[in-house]
Amino acid sequence: MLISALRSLSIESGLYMKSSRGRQMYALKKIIGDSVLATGYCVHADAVDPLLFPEQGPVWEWVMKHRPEIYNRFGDSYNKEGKGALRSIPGESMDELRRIFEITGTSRRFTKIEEDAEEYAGTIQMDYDETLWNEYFLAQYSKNITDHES
Amino acid sequence: MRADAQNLPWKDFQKEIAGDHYFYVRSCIRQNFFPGAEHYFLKILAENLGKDVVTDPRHTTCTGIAYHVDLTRLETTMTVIARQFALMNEAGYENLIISCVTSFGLYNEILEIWEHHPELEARIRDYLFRATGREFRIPCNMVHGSDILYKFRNELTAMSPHRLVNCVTGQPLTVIDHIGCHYAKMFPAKGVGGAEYPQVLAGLAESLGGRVVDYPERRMCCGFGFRQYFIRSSRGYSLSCMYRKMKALEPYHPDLILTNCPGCNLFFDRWQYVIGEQTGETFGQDGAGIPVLSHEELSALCLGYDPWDIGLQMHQVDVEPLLDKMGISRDRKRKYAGRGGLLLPEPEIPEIMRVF
Repeated sequence: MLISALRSLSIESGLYMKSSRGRQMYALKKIIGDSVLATGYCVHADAVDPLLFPEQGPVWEWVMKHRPEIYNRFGDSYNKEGKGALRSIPGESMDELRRIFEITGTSRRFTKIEEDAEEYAGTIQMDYDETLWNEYFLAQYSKNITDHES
Repeated sequence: MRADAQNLPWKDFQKEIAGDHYFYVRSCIRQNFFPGAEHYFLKILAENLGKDVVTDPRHTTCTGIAYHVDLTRLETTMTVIARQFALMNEAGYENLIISCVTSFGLYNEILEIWEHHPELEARIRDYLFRATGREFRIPCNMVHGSDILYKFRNELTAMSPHRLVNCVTGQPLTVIDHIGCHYAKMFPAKGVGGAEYPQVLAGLAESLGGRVVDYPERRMCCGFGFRQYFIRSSRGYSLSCMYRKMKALEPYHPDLILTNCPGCNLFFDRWQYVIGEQTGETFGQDGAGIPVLSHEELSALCLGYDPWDIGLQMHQVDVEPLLDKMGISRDRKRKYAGRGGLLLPEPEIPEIMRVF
């Protein structure tokens, strides 16, 4: 709990933006945080792009190309109603999840991470937008950008 | 392990595993990368073992990965997990099975925190009610999916037409067991055999006829580490861990790596491909990799389910060398078929690691 509290303090005080590893919170927010709030899963196949995760290998490229045919072998619920693999989580449940994030403060944390990233991207003159594929995201995701480099 | 007076020192290494009436929560990683594992776990419980098990489409991620990379606040994760408990209660169940080892560790962590900080549990109850109108009771019994297959290993073995035995020589196949860190390293009392003598996978493999080998890095992490994998610039740490493990187990010539954590299963599978591409090294026979299966996949395979229905073609390391050794026949044409038997184009072949 102590470590968790210190990590929270670092983010909420803004100190995390003082280190290259801390600034990578933005990349994690884009990959994982956005997935949770959009799909209800920490990881969803639709977002595991082989360009970002090349080590997933040719078998993953094959899965990605044929997702409905493959996933629907396991419960016939891929991105639709059902109980099987990668089912679409009902809208009411997603609303409950988002309300939990609001009430418990994680939505506010996500907003802060985005705002801090936008401001920092401006200071180092990198393109930033709300999509995943902006220049700043790719830089934070792929490199440890030190203050010296930036 | 017996629970008589003579064995009292061992009682800390045992755990209670409910015998029936389960509520099941899925894993994000497992259903993305090995969806057949969960599908067949539920099938084995319901159809082979005749157990009552339900899952609820309304349950979500536990937020475990987001929590471990510091994205979600602890209170958020606690409230999401409290919601899973509420769904279980509303369905009329009190025994929870958790598919994911990360989730299993996190659920246990949360219950431990609440035990020491009841005021926090009270706050989470308030958050959950305000957000969803739901209330919850803590599960009476909370186990990982591998605990269940361990508990029923003898029954499963008795009904299995296939064994972890070389069909030509009659010799046991050599198995490396790899238990996810969050299964028992955090809370040893929550795992079968604790952190020091984990039996959950070894017991299953031995029951099915395999020979489990010890090796120097047996209890070392697979290297997933959440943040170090998800950020590309840190991914080398994850790969380095796996390379060290593979080099440590290589001299024992295992026929199979058996896991209970979906992340470990993924990384044993995928990093063998990457190591092959980067260094030219492979660890199985004749340039192949060492097949990696989870407890569900192995159980389903031994029970006689079709390997392609289980989804074993979704592994990057080809499982066919293991199937040959076990004498399991299969229809090659169905390997890369989609739903309804639709034939799909085959995946590309890695440059180094041999596939069949």
